[in-house]
Amino acid sequence: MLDILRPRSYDVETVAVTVPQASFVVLDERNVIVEVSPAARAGFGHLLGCDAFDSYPDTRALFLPHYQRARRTQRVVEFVQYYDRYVSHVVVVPDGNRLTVRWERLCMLDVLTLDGLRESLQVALDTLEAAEEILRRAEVRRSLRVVGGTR
Amino acid sequence: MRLDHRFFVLDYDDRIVHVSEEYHETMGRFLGHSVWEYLPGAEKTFRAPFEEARRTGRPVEATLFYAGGLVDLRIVRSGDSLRVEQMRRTNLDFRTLGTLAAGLRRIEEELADRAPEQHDPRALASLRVLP
Repeated sequence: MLDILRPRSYDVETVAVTVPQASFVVLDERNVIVEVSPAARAGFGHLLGCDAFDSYPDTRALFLPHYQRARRTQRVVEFVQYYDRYVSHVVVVPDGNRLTVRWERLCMLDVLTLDGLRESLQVALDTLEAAEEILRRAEVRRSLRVVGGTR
Repeated sequence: MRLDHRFFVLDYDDRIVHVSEEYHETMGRFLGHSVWEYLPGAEKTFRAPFEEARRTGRPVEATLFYAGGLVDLRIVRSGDSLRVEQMRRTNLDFRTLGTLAAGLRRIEEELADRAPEQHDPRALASLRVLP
């Protein structure tokens, strides 16, 4: 859905030869990380068995409302979020109170120079705005399908 | 401006010809290389104070943004060489857009306070586009 936001390096030719592995973690009902995908091991492997929000307390306000919504509705929740230099597209798939949280990084800040930071922050803000708009439209379309009985 | 005793020395061609003991671990392998290899992307910002020190022969002090925060520099010419002392003043907190915006405001204030020494005139203008 958010292909339009990917950088040029994700063009079809590139994807044909480099199939990125999905980064995901599985959380139990207490938000403890119970599974980490191979692609996410470098960043999250050491947190296996830990409360995701104890490890990153400042992410609670950013992510928990989406997790709660996924558990409450038992529907897939998608959102885009800036955190620690990256803008990521996050997909939360509920299975009872367990959640599979998948993410893909859409862009990152260049923090070397002020020029680089300015330009990359503008890209990040544009990406957030565009992605939120796409997700909003998709949400409306889903709602229309529900209303029209074609869910 | 109070800087610590860590420093490196550049020749007339911006090559690193000496590093103080504290920098051996991080900079040692760049001895004989251009300083711009050690500080990628910094040339546009750092070159001006380096050139001013070479041109005037006077010590130049500057506070510049590099690698996620503000860096204090003191550059002293000695013959064809430049002795560069540097110390990190602040690091931006990139965790959330809120912490980033707050950090950028602090940096803007610090740069404004040091405006007479500012060698990166585009810096303040750049900050204005940030949230």
